[in-house]
Amino acid sequence: MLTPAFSKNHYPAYLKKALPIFMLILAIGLSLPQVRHLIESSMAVHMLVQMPLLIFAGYSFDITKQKVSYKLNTSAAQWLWIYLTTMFWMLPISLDKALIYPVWDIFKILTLLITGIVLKVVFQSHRLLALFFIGSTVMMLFFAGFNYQQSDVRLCNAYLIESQKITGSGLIIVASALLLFLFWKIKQELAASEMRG
Amino acid sequence: MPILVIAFWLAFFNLITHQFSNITLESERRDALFSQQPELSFLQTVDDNGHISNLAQLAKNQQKTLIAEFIYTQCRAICLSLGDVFQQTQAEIIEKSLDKKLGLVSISFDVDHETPNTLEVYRKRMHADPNVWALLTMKDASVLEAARSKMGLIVVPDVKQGFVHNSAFLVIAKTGHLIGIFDTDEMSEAIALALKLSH
Repeated sequence: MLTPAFSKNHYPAYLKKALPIFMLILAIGLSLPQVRHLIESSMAVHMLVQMPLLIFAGYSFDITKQKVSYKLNTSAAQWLWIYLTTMFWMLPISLDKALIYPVWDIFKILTLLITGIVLKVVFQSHRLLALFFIGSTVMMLFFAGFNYQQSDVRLCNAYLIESQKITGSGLIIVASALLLFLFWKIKQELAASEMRG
Repeated sequence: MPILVIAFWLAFFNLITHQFSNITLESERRDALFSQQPELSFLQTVDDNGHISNLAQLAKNQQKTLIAEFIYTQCRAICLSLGDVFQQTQAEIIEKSLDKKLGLVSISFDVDHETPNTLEVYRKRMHADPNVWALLTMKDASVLEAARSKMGLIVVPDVKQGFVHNSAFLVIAKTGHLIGIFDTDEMSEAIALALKLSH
């Protein structure tokens, strides 16, 4: 039995169970009318807080021990899901429509939760392949971040240009952090395979 | 399974971008307006003399094609450059005696603060010729709401007590229908369309 890549075994069990639910409530909460102005007024809260929270919430749900994960275990499909979902929610029109139409907002919550779940399955199956998958998605984050940061035109009708530039820089920082993590992970994998070999 | 994922996302990309034609809401808004060509009688306005009318009526009465922009007179940012473009266009209209065919309209969306008086101040500041350049403000908040929902006008309050808004030139036919939207650097295209229509 493989242990999950980021298992937090040293935390008490109740905390481990409560964490995904807490993140889920926080993430979905941001879409509720009372605090909705947070994601409506700041692109950074929308893209760099709510969306990652949804993915983390999906990631931390412990479904991998159940049978569902075996059905999900087709790596090309997993990679395509992660890649296409990320691409979809990088489009300016998707961000705008998620703010205007509740249906698109619900679609956003569902697809990003699923992305988190898929991400966990990916990490538990073919490790090196998973790194390649994540790598290609990181490149897209760089591309999107650069575009948002450099554009002098407001790409989302709902957000101010300052907010757009901050979000662009934020995306580049997130992508850089993921890239560093990726290098560290590859180094670790190679060291582990040398030990075995 | 991979095919299913591709098909799923292809369908949703297709849906949200309208057959892959728009990746921003602004371009979708313009496409929709181009295909609908709505009559602008819902845009009720008050001019700098206090006369109440609406955009469609204005175009019909004057029998001119109108080029319109949305501004607010206290604006210190984008509206200033919009105003510059309108000043140059006014000069061009007078110089080429196009004033029987073509009119300019600035419409303020600052319904809480704009009055005929502030419009008059703006007219003096911009040296706007009443025969060419009409200055209007929206009659009340419900007109702004209608412009938001029917025309996709976006007005976002900014941190400095002002507004950020989408800036574009609208071309309005003599019949009072909106027939084109142009970017702020496409004034010559807007004029070309307006002149083509007024023949």
